[in-house]
Amino acid sequence: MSTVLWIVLVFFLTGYLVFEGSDFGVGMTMGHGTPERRDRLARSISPLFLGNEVWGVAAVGVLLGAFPAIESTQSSRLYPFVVTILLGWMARDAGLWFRSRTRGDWCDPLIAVASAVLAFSWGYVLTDIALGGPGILRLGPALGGLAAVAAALLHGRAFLAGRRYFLATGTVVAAVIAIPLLLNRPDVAAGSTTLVLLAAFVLPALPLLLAAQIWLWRLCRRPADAPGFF
Amino acid sequence: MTGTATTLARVEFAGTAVVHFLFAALTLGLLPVVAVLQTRWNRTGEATLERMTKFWGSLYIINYALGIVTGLVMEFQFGLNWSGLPRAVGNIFGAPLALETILAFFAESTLLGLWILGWGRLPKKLHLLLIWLVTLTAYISAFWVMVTNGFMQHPVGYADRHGMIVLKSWGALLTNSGMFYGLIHLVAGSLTAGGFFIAGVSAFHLVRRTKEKAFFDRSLRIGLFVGGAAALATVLLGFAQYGYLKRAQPAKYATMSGKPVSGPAPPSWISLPLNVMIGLGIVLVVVAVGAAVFRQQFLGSRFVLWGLVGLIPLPFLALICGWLVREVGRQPWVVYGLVRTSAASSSVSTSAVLFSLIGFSVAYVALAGLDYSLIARAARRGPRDGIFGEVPV
Repeated sequence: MSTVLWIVLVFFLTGYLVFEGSDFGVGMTMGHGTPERRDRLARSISPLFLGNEVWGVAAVGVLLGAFPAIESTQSSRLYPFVVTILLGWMARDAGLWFRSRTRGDWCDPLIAVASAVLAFSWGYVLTDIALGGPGILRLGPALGGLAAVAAALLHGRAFLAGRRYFLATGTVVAAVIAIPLLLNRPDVAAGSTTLVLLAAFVLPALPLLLAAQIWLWRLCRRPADAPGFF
Repeated sequence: MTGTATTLARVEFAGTAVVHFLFAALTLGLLPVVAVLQTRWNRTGEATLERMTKFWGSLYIINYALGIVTGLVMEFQFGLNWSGLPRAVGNIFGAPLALETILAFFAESTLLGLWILGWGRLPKKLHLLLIWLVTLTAYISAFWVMVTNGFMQHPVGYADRHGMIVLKSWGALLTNSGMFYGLIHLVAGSLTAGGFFIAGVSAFHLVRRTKEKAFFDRSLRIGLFVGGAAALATVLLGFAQYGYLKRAQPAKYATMSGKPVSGPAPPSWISLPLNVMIGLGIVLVVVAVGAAVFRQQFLGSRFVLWGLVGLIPLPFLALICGWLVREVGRQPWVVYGLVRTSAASSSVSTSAVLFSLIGFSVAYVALAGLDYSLIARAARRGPRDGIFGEVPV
């Protein structure tokens, strides 16, 4: 059962980085350019970011529920970077959520900085876990963070260029994240009754959740210059 | 963690939980009203009902933003500052939270995205179904969070295997009275907050004599009905917990009633928020009963209308007081009688906790202040067309 839930966890985390990765990339370029250009970029990602970021929330949920030992050791070890992920996440959401409601120009630079912080911190945290070993501030994970920023920029460009390009870069992102994680299943999981409880609720819900996500993406196929709530 | 760091971590968690709670409660309070308004609009086709659905729905959405980000920080904070908790009781503690993220959080955000985008583009019945599903998932969310919280208040359904707490019975966990009493009291309190919010915003427009008189007359009556009935239920359901509390958490019960306690006990000051909460509950019930009995004279008075505007923050203050009684009253235990709070903290430095406390505090103050000012501005402006980017017919 722990294998099944590990696959579910990797699935959610991969989905998060594929879908939000492009949001980070687009967000990073929102700090400059004409107001029209920035509005267009915001409209291309804002209807979807709400549905995209919950993949990450679900991944952390499964981690907390099925693999509590990993959550507790890794997040207190990587404390500063988990905090920067959260602060970046809050700032980016606030910027996207409120930019059309506040007339201030501060939202777009905030989105750009916060998106970069998010991409770098996720890259750092995941590379650090992959490399293993002691210490917090290290070169390898820092390079991983920079690579994540570059990858997100490229992935964001692909998202704006069209579905076919997004699919291509998305597949690469998914492979880079999912394959190493699937090959390294941890041997510390919660007790069997807990895992059965989780699986009993999560597995039947998955197809419905995916259907809702697909529906949301289909509904977003529209000219990005149309006005919206965001 | 040192004693200072544990205190800082508790302050950090309390701040996150309280800010989250304020926004989550308004979500729970507004959603059913929005769903009922949209249902009645679907049935009657009346234009005012459509505008009411959109106006109150848009205020709920602006409010939802803060609920999300603070909920997110709470989820991560267990691992950051309280890693002893997943280690000691992770088998039970994390599962309901995991189910909350997937069955509720994930579904709620996706469905809400569909509802926002779906205005004017989806068939009406399907669009109506979406708002009911959003409402349902918000309440499922509250349920799973309270399953975890109920376990912390009143641990049930577990077995101790060589110092490791594992789940033995789901049934016991999902029907825990520590969860049930808290959940119904909280839901009623949230509806009180939502009802008095609607009543207060409506009263503001009526007293300022804005052009939307019919719209806000109707909203005011809905708000007072929901808020008043819910306030009465909240008070009754609050007192209904006393028998259970006396049995399950004798030290908390004794401290609440101001009696001295021997052995582990919460700080004596929790009787203060308890009394404030009861007082606020009674004030709200009296206002609602007054409005029901005197109706026209009552609601025609500018003094009363301004009073209703002033009442908006009171249910929220009562919610914070209730949180303090329930959660500080649980101390010195993180899981009542099973794990002490001091034993649950992570082995991180005081400076690390201070860094996160400062970072999150600045972010909460800025974002909550901004969100409330945006809600207030949208509420003051009143209903307007095209808010969801829908094509005007």
